[in-house]
Amino acid sequence: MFEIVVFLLVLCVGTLPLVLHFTRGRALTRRAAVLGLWLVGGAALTWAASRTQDPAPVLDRPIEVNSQDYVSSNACRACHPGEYDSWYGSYHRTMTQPATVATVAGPLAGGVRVHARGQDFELEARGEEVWVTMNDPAAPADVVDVPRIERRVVMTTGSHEEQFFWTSMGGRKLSLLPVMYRLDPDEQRWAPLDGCCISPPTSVQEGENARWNRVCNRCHSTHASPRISEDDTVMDTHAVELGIACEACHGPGTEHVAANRDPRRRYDLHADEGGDATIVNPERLDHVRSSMACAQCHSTAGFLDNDEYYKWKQQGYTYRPGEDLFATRSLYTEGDDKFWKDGMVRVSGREFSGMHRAPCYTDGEMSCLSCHQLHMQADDPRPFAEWANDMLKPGMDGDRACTQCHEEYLDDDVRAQHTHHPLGSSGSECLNCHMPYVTYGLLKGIRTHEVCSPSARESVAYGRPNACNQCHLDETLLWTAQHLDEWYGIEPPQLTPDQRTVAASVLWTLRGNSGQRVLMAWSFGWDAARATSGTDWMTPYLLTLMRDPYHATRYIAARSFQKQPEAHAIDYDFMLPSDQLQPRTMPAYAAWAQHGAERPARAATLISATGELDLPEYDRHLGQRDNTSVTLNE
Amino acid sequence: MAKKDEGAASVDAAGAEALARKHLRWGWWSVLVFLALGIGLEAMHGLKVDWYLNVRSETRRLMLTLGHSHGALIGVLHLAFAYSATALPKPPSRLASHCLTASGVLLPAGFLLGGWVVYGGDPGKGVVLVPIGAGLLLVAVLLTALRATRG
Repeated sequence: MFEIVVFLLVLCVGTLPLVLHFTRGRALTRRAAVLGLWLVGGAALTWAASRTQDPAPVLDRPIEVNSQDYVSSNACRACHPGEYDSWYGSYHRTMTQPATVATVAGPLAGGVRVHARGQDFELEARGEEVWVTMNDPAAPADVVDVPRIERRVVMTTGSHEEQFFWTSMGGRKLSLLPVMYRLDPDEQRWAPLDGCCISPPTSVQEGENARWNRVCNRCHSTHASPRISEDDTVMDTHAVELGIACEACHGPGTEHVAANRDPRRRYDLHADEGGDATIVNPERLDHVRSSMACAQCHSTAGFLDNDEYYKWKQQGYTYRPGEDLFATRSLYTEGDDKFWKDGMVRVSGREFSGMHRAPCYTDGEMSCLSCHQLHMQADDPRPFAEWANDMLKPGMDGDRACTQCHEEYLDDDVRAQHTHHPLGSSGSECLNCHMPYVTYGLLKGIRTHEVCSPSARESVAYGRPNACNQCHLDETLLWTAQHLDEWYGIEPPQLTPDQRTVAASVLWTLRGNSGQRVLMAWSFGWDAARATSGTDWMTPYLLTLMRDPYHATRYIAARSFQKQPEAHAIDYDFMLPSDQLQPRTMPAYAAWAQHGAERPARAATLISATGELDLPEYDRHLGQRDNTSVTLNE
Repeated sequence: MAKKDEGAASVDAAGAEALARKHLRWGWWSVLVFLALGIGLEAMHGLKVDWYLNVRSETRRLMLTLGHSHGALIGVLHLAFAYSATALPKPPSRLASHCLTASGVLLPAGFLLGGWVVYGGDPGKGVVLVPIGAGLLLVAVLLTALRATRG
């Protein structure tokens, strides 16, 4: 209204001299005509100006609202343009976005049909909006012809490796579609959600449970307030920002913004290296508190008690960066499939849960920021996309990550003596032995952040692949145990006859549970392991994994199989019905078997003297597969 | 009495001419300098100079652009001042002249120094010259406007 009044005043004052000019000394009728025209024109213009309407309120998804001393990234931009820019380009910002044709990563032209959980999901663009046609989730379970309904896709999660989609189940309560879009440039495709998770295959549609409001908002937005009613029926969820923004790590900015309106204060701070006490800078915190800022999401921390849960249910987490995270949360390290039996976390996105058990953290001063950098520096020579991929400091994807503290290994002789591998080989790289790929997530093996040393004993006790056998895929646990004993004096564990004679990777592939098999599916495609182990024996095992009950394992195995010479001999998709997997993979096996005479015998990998697969032994091991149900919730 | 007035008028005329020449000099040289600076800024756009165009240099870019535009426009004001010195029945005061000259140095220099070193969204400390220059410019324009009004 104020805007319209000002508009009217300016219009009057600006045009009055013209009106006076045209009416001065004229006949009464002409004066009246000019004045009338002026009034009508002014009214018309005012009406046109007042026609601009506020956008319709958003009622079908969580909205962004500044609250509890949070001011949003909009307030940060003017003073911190560089930091704002690197954040803006990061995948943190686009973690959660309102769904439009611009933010939905997958192509929608002509519509998309994805079969998931026993039904078809049909996605299409309608103007700027994205809609899905699906079975009515409210239909009773015993209905045969489930009515189809249309819903608008209102929000997306993820923009880096995978993207997921949300529809409103009424008001701001969101339900997850069992559909994803795979973003990797080499693998872009629509797929069912089950295709990316290690979870028992099912055709059952998950009930609508407002998961975003109950769970996902905790980390996939900036300071969400779930605003869930006591009876759990109303969820008026707000967030300061839908993406993960400045204040997620730096804490609420109201005080900082207010204090720094004073230019004298700002220039005093520019001259002072001590930092600004009105805002948290994780780089200035000690390694524990600094890491806690990341751990609020990148860990397996749960509510400390019911009181904290009920506070969260209304106003969101009470933790603020810089505080002791574990004053309000507890870190659990057992109790579900997220952990190996010794408590090492085995799913991605929970890096602090691994790091906090590592001696580098407990005895040293390692923090997340020892290797990672949440804002790309001006002098960083790498392309922006390379930094954004994992937000590492330059060189921290290599030995520098360790030698920044363990300087003694900068000396080539010392390092060669320590690693017992030739300098420059993958076995001489610190991370390959001390941060092996024993974490699963995002359809790949990911380095554990629990810095550790290779151990055959842990493989036997906890079923976790060790760094040696994950690279030397053709070697046995006995071989590893003997080398660790010879090189480092580590006492070998008790081994079964099979562990002494059959390659560990073969045992994990054939007899292992789905958590072990998926890591083998990835390891068979790891270039370092392929170079070390040879690849001519891998085809039968990759084909076995491509027939795995778990879709994600099939997906990864199929990716690794693309590196095999028999890749051309197969017409395969990981979402094929189970009864088609065997016939579709057999041609590739036949192509591999043809060249048996050219293959050397490898007893540990069950390759006989004639270069053929020792089928009785293969079947024996496969018959002992651990079919325990495993769910690796990322 | 008439002779005295004639004498005063001739002194005023000579002073006005000198004032006009001074501001013509300042004006044209300012326009030249800041026009050249503008070409330099355009060249930095053309050559995609990171120091100038990087998003972290947003404040620098703003400051240098303001320095260029203020310098050039104050140069044009000098020319207008020179015209006023001869066109008005009574030329603008010496104080106005000095204020305009000082502002023509301080205002663009403040912006340029403020853009040379930046602290994120804050310009360098040289930007303190800007309000001083702006105040002097305001005084110069006010005095000249009053002279133009009162004759």
